[in-house]
Amino acid sequence: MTNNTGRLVDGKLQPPTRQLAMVFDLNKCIACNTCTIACKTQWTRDEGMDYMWWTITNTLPGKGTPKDWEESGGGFISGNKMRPGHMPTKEDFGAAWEFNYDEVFQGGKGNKVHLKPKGNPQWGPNWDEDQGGGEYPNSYFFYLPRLCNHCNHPACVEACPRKAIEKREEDGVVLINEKRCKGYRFCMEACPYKRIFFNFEKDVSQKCIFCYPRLEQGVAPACARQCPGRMRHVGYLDDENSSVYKLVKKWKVALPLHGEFGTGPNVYYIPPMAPPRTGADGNPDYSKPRIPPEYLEGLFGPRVNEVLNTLETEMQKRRDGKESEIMRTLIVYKWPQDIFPSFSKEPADLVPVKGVKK
Amino acid sequence: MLSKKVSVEGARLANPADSIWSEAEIQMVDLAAVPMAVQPSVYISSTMNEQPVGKVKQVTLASLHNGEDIYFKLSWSEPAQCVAVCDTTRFPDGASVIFPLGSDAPLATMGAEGQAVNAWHWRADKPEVGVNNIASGLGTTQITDKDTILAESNYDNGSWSVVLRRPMQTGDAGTMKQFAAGASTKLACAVWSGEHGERGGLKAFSPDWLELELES
Repeated sequence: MTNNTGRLVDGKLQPPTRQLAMVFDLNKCIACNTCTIACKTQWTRDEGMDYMWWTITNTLPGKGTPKDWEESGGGFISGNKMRPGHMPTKEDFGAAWEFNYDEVFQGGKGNKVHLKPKGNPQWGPNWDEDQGGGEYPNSYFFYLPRLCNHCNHPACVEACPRKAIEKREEDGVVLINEKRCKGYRFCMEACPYKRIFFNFEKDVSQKCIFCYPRLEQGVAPACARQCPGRMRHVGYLDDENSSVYKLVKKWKVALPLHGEFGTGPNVYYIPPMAPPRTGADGNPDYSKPRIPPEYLEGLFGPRVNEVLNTLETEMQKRRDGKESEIMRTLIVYKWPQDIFPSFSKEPADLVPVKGVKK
Repeated sequence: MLSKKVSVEGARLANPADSIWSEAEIQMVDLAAVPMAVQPSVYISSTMNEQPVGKVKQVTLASLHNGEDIYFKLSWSEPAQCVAVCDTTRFPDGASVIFPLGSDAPLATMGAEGQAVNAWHWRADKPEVGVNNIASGLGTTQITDKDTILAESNYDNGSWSVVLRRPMQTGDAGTMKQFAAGASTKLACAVWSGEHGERGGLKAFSPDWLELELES
């Protein structure tokens, strides 16, 4: 039977029964990339996957991973009218560098030669980390963790001529069926977030699977579970007890990234606050924000400044010794039950599934 | 078109440059681009209407058999050879021959439910094999993991020549076309120009079934 979930059928989007979502609190992300490594270790160690980072935390403003993904097209113009997209190249993603381990560790030159990548790479994942934007003393930057958005209307699903990509009916997770995929890469062109990778060894496209084998055993995705900042909330958008529901639906302080791409992403962000600007006299200058509002609007849409004001008001409540449910939720006092309530089981208790690595 | 029966060793028949192929009947087959409107992808049909695909306009088709194995030779002009998939933007040159499994299998839709087609697919990045596929409609092509199709190819002077060969009888009529001397069948072919981003339904194909008779 054809799964039409996530497709536009007769002009109507076919939603899943339930939709999983993530909320990232950008005010708590320190770009330690523990999420990135947790995912790498769990999923992308096999052949052909060395250059893949299904999740990665970039610095903004910046070109991101792959390079210039925000300007690469794809997604929807309206309805099922799609926008042509750029195919990210190996260089855009940043190749997996080879290092001179032999020379340093076995070649007897350990005291003379530094460990360094072979060749002369000019780009890599997180190449522009911590560069940011603006001019000292009013420079600014923040961190942006990214992964597949498991969209409501996934561009990849509509792009694949082989129906090799499906949005799961039970939780909205978008998966590539590698037995159907023939490596045509239309999905990579169509995805406006450029979170799909091509495996050159296996001749298939691959991407984040929302750790579905973990989800199915009540364990949170590796990136969320390993996050030391407790900033990756996971839950069902219809679960009124989940922090995801409260932040996205109830308080509306979590916003999609580049919603104008038209895919309905299910990763949401608490927008970044920033310290006050430094005035000419060296004192705080509150006349305008450090991060240009138009820059944040370009990322998170027109409501971003309203949300920042809400967050500021809620923080002030705490400074005044009052209760703030929003701040309590974002702080996550009780982990893991308060940050991914449906997925708080221990990873150590996972039972290996046939065909899927533990 | 006739697939002549010849009594020479398989190694010669498998070689696209062997002189035995000068004895084969050849057919020049005009190819057409698969229309964008029928592509089973919203992305392709809504963004690539203006993209020129189906770059290869003609293929020279020939066939020989020796009573045990059947050989198909396809030759076409491809000025910019594309072999290795060395980046995401690179696609290999390719070709296929297609046979109906069901007696009324439609070609334009790559078969239909209950009327499958069998496609032997050759790609320049894996030049020694032909991959056996079945399809029952656009976008339904499925590899059957039965690698009994062997291939040899050469690229010379801006042209590909590829010979695909397989035992005439394999005992699996559900997923592989069965051939018999003295019988006839329909066939079609398709060619992909990697240089022009052709893959999947972005290809040039022969719009009508051709008749093939196997000499007894």
